[in-house]
Amino acid sequence: MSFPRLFNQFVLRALLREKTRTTIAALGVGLGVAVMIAIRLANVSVTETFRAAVDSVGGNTSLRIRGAAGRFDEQLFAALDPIRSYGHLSPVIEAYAMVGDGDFRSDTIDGFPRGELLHVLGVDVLLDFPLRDYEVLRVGATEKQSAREALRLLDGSRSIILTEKFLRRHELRVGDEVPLTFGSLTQAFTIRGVLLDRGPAQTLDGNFALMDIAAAQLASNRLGFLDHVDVLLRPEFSTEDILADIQLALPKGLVAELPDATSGRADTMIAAFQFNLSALSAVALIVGLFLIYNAVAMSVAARRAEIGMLQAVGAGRRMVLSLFLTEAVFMAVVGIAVGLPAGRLLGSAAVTATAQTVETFYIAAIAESSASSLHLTLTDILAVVCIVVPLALMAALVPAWEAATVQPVDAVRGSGKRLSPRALARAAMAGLLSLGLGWLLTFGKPIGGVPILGFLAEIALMLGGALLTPLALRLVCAGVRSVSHHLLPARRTEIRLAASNMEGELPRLSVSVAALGISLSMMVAIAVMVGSFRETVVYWLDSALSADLSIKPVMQTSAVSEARLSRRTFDVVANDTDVVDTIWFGARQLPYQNRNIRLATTELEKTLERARLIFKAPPIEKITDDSVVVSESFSLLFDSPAGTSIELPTSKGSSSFQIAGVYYDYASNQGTILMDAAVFRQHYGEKDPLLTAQTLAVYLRPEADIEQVRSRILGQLGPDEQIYCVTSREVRAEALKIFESTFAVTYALQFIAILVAGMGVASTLITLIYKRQKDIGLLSLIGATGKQVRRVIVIEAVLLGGVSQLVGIFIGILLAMVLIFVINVQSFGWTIQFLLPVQFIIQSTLLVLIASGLFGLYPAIRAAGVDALQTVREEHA
Amino acid sequence: MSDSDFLHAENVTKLYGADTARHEALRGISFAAERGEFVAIRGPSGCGKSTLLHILGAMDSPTDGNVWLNGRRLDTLGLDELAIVRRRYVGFIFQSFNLLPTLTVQENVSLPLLLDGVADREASERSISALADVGLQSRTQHLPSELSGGEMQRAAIARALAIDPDLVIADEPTGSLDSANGLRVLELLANLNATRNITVVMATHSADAAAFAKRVLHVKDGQIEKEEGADVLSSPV
Repeated sequence: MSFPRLFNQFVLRALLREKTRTTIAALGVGLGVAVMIAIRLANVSVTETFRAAVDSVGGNTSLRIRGAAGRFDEQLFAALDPIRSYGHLSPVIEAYAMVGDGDFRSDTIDGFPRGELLHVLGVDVLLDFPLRDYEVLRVGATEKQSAREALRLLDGSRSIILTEKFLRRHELRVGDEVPLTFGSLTQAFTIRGVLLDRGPAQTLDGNFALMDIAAAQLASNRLGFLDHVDVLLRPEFSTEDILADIQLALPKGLVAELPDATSGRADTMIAAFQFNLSALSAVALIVGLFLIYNAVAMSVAARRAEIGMLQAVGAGRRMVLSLFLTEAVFMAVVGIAVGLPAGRLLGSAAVTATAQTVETFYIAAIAESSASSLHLTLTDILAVVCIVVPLALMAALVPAWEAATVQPVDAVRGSGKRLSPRALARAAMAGLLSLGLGWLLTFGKPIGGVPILGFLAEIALMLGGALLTPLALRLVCAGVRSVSHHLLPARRTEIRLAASNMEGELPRLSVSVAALGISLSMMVAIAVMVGSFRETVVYWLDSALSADLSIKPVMQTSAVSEARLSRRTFDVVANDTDVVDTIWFGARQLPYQNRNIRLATTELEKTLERARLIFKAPPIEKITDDSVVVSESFSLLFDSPAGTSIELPTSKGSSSFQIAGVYYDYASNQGTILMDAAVFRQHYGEKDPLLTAQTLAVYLRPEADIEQVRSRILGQLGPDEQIYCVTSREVRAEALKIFESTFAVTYALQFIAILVAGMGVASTLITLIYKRQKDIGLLSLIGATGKQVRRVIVIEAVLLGGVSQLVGIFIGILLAMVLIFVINVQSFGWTIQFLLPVQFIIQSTLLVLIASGLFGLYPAIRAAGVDALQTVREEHA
Repeated sequence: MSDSDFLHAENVTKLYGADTARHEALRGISFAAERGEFVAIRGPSGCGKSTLLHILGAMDSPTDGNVWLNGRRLDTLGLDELAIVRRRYVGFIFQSFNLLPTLTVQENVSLPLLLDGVADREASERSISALADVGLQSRTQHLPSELSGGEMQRAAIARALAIDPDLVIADEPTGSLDSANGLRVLELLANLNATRNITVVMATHSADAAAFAKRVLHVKDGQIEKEEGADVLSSPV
């Protein structure tokens, strides 16, 4: 008989006949595929959108010249004359503004202002037109405007050109005024022209504005500074060849780099975002593997007799093996078909949800806009097929091989062979060795900045836990049997039967329980990590928040970190009679060793005295002119402990600084250097460092009424100063809110883990019921009521879920330890105090037990419906 | 039904399937057995003897007709009530032994008692005693897969005995055994019938096995074709 016909008769018909089994398997695989595709879409989309945004703003730029220490004095532009022989130069200001004149203070979600973000490019239009692909229209004119005309449009400090898309969305027209907030100041700008939807106008889905460079400097409080100078090389020069020459020709304090270096540094900013999602993806793979294994095992169990018959009529082992492997591929394909559209929807939801959580406002906006434009490409579909189909074959191999090598005598003698103590001991020994290997791998250093050995340690630990599962299962079953009369005297017989049934299926169940355990271990690991992290942050917040009030511009988020407080704000606060002291903090992005770090400025001695920083080691000594303190993440990321020196780029070239101390800082994983204002002025040429201040910590007289002071300050500043003025308590609450939303996606992971556990329990039990139909029928014949049979199966379900959770807790805690002490430290540079979330473990265990019991109901009902007489009728067949 | 009837079936009909696929396994059979009687049911494959046995043993319900066991009407009982009747009053012995493979021999034997709520200690004592009665006292902690065919069938008999049944239903109990083991099992049944006054109804193909019974019913095409009394039966082999 031909294979397709046999496949149709033996596999397809059975799949259609057993609709529940087929549905569970296809849904399971579909769930795995959906999660996988969602993660892939989300990751690719965010990265690509981010790159696209950077690239479209970059235009035809061949090289970018920037200050080694970030923004630089505009007078240096004149010193770039030697570079002009290589090509065309255009000075640029890049800033962000919030759209609208609403009160952003009352319109926040998770601490982020919810006003619409606008990417503002300030250029000298005449110089910039060759670099970027602008198409500007003027009211009444349909033809493209020349650079000179565009320049005329942008005369005046409040003129702005917006994109066609933006204007259409907001129903605005040329000549209208649009209120924009830079830093804490809201001002109205006049729309003078329209940018067609191409080139830089595509940035942030049309949220792009063009301004004259002088107007942008004024609006963004950067008078006298440039962010970068873009270079368009003449055609005869190749970027790679000329880069070194240009670097040599640059004045001190400036560096030349390829334009995509910016996006390269920015990529590290989304590492945490993608890390969270990748964890979900890993679970999806395990889910897929396990559910396919179960589905094929179920199929084999259900059709033992048919397999025997096939073999009896001459089907060889290869044919039987091929049939079951094809069945696995078929289910994988159905799963993919279900999972792809589901993944597209899930991806969109995941990006939107996680967009709230990413550390940067900029990326959040991009991610949100990209969520609506996610689409599946042929590459995505092929990637899923290439991952899922081989996995399906791999997962199906064991049960399919079992089918191909089935011995008729096994069916006659029953399945009562228990796993031998020697096999148990061997598996346990291998498990312990694997755990040992995992422990050794945790000592490895990161490779290329990635904790690869840490991830390998995680895999070794999972494998170790999985190999210890048969022993755990045996011990729990034996334990439950022996204490059943104490546990529930009235149900002891059902409990014993359930435990005996499970012991009798130890090899088969060990695979299921290990897979479920690993799925649950992800949930436990993430919960332990997040719980520990949260407690550490709470402790840190409680220690670090010493000020009574904290003031910052509404635009001050970690991404738009250049938003500053106005001088007026300082004056108003300083003149308040209840204010006894203030500490200001400023920060800027500083390129350092292929990453962006935060260079924070403050009055260091006062900060150390007042701000109660928690130092790692050693306690800070006297601050000298060339000393800085650094955050733990900086110290770990760049291997710079206290006492060592670092070379920092400054506006006067490279300078050496002594690390006087390392402090804990969970506000950012970028790595922060805290520098005294005087030292900053000396090295970075800021005439008045106070003008870089972004946050003001305010200390009040002990008897002062905080609410009254706050009202007074806000009242005096008036509505034009868009600032947050919050108490320590509110800062704490806001920080925790951001924290919760950062890890919101992990709740999805927990939900999926429990759902999978439930589905796994159900499919495992249905498989077992198929296999044990005869035993169940016999149980009924010797007098077990339907209720008793149902109870046995539900108890088996609860035991299955319980042991899986036990294995999950064991592996999960080990995984969490590696996550906390190895992977997090190597990836983010944060030390987290390990804390066991006992309450979560108890709650999740109860949830898993309840879910398992509920998912066990369907198999239980099926078991109670088994035709008891079938057992004896078969004897006469 | 006479007062002395312990097991009584009246005009029992059993239909399987529907419409054109309908099959009449029993066609109005009436049957009665007194307490302590040993009845054999003989007939070719598919004649309905097993179906009759299942209905008499409260394993199945008739499509039509009435069945009484020790004065209790069975055909009106629900599934769970039938299960209770089985575990309290009826012991089963099948051709394929039908022991639960994951339980030890003793656990198999004590299972019907435990399902009925008998205390652990009593269930244990009764199961050990039943196993001793069939000569398996040394095999109590073995799994069924570790026993020979004859031992498995004796374990199944012990399970039937442990509940101290009123009725033992034996469906081809020697069908999977060699002649020596088959003989031992039949002797056991005959002995139990004689010493404990247990009613035994046994379906068999074998004339030799039927010879252990006091009465033999010949079934053909779902009806009792003829009945032989003890006086016309030859002596057991």
